[in-house]
Amino acid sequence: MLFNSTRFVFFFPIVVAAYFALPFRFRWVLLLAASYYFYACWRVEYSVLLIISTLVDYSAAIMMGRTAQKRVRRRYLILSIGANLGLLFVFKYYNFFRGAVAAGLSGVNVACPLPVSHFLLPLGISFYTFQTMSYVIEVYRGRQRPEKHLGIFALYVSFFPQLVAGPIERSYNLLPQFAVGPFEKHRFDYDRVTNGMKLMAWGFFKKVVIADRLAVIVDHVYGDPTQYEGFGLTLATVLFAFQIFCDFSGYSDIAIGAAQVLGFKLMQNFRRPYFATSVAEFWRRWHISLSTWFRDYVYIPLGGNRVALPRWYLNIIVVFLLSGLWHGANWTFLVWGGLHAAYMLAGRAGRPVRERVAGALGLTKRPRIEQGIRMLTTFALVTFAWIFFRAPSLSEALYIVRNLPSGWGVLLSPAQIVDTIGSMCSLPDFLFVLAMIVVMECGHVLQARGNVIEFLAQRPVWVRWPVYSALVWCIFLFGIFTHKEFIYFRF
Amino acid sequence: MKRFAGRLGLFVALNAAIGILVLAAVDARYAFEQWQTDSLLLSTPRDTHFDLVILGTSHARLFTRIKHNYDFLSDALDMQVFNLAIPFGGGILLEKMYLRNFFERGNRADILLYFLDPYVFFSPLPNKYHKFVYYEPLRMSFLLEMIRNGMPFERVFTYIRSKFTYRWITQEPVLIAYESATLADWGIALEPKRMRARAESLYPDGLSQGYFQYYSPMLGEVLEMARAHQCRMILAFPPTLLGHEKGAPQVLELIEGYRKQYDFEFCDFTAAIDDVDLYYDYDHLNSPGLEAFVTRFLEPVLTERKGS
Repeated sequence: MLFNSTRFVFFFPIVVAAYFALPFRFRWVLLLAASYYFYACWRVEYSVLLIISTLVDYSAAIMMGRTAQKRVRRRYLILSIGANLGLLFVFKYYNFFRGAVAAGLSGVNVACPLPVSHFLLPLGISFYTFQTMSYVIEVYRGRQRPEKHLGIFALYVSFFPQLVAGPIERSYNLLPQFAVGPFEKHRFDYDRVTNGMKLMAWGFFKKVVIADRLAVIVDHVYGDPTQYEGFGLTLATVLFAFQIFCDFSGYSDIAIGAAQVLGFKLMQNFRRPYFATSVAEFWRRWHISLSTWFRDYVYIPLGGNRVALPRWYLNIIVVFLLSGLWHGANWTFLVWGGLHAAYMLAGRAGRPVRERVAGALGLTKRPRIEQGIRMLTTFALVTFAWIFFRAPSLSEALYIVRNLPSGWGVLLSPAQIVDTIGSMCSLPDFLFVLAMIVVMECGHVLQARGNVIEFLAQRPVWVRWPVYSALVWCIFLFGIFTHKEFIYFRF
Repeated sequence: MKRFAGRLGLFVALNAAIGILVLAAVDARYAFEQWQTDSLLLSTPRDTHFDLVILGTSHARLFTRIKHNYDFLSDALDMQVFNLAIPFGGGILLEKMYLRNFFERGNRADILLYFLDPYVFFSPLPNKYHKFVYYEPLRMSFLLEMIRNGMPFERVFTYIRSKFTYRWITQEPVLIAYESATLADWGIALEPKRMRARAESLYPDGLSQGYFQYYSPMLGEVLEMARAHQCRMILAFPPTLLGHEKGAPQVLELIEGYRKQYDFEFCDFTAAIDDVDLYYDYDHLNSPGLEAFVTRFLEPVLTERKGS
């Protein structure tokens, strides 16, 4: 089921109403049933994978909890991680692996013996496998007690607001919220419920008004990039930067808001990432649940930055290549991850030079200007990397990169600028979506100074309600409701 | 929770009221003649008697969508004509809904002439997924009719939402004075392969028996409405260069099946007009074509007395 679907419009209020009507001790049952229904609406047969992942990790954690022997505990950890990674390999990476083997064998004129897999990519598999792996790792480390209640654990794995596209929740944050006792804390609270709904509305605004409109433009250009030169390709890539942000953060807002309505607190997943002043800071603001997952379960176990410099750099490269691969089974994602690794390394290595240059230019005395330059530079670097994220193949990504410097003479003629934009979409549509991006960024600027939702909640009703009405009417009138999937559903 | 329910209800009611006010203000501006709009609801009057009401798809819509065609038809037949045919390939489900709306507004008709395209029985695309939602005004009775007839929620949502678009709010009557174009003018040749492809395109779901079983009883509902309002009912296949559609034998069998219950006439005009210069595409008459068809075929049928 998609959040931006008519089915969800009925599903969510019914679940919420039933949830608050039910006695506390039965609420986990309702949520578990609703979560599996939510997932099964996509393809019921793939619920089996969710069940397998749940049972394997539940059992592994229980068995780990029964012994203090590290050797035995490690076996169960390996079993659990192996099972989850095995699922990922079979359903997500097998064809990519097969393609690489086939390409290698074709170089020596040998046919690839491996068959092509026709399995669909199960919705959310990258998210729920990572969530359950984090649970098992925490149990292994002794920081998480094994959850003995299978139903509660199954709910932790399948909780519908964050099942298919995150945030990837840590067990020590989410599991205690599902324990049967704490359900008593999830009484109907007017402020909590209404604030959750407002966050959902904001998420829908970002997704159906901005992201899905931008998708039409970006798909048009990336569908046939040979029709465009530097200005058009750059414009489409910048628009994609906003599309993917609005799509993914919009989904996260809906997920966090929906959980909040029900009384659950999910982690923040985005924190104004395009305001970052370095790539390192970008990764502390973008898809926070994934970047912290890789930090805690890959980067730190590899030694983090507490190793010799070459090993430290290798750790960064490994983490970002894995992050790229997590996003998709394609060489473009590996290049995307590799680029970010390069940015991180260059950023760290080049810091002394940057500081000297900033000092020489007098920027240290103008911190706001320096911050602005750093933000723009970071945005440019991240946006350049998005080319590889969005392009369907490496050759198309490289075509776009090669043609970025060309055809900028169009900027000298407003008529040509209008023509270029007109070839992508209608000018009113373009101006409208630009205006909505400005509205969104104004919201982010305000959010940086304080919680906007709570600020509005304290204003008189004749101020609050027109703002809420404008948001709802904007979604109703200008939203694209042709069921465009969230981008991160593909992962 | 009561406070929440109360405030949510008030919020929804206030915004619904704003929406209704906007709709009412826009709707009050619109009064179109049937040759000025594709919308049937905007042009359907109240408490009016018509000698002839036409039903069908775009093959029949052109009888009045073009001003010259309407004038010629009315003058040649000396009849008050109203056209309930649905442009863009409207199906039997929609036709039933429009006809019911026509009668519920107190209108009367002496003759119902239904140009029946067999393809309308074999797919939901001309029925539940037709684009009428974009050009019909929001009318509560029609909205309820849509829901009663099982329209998907997305269609209902689009029907409501499309009334708050710039295009709807600023629409103006559209006048097509005359259609003189021929196939040659559009560069359309009489190539068998292209004609077969065109005929096939009318059946996106093939000869689906599931859809046929679902939609065929609706012809009976149309016939029942004709009987209930004492209308002379004529079913007809419209003229076309494509020959009989592949669904025609089954529809003919359906029509014959209804003869036991209902009194109606059937005319097969498929091959009535075979002059390619009288069409602007393979199955739509241009204005000269309409004149020829009305004069040579339609007038004799409509003025013929039953039993003679």
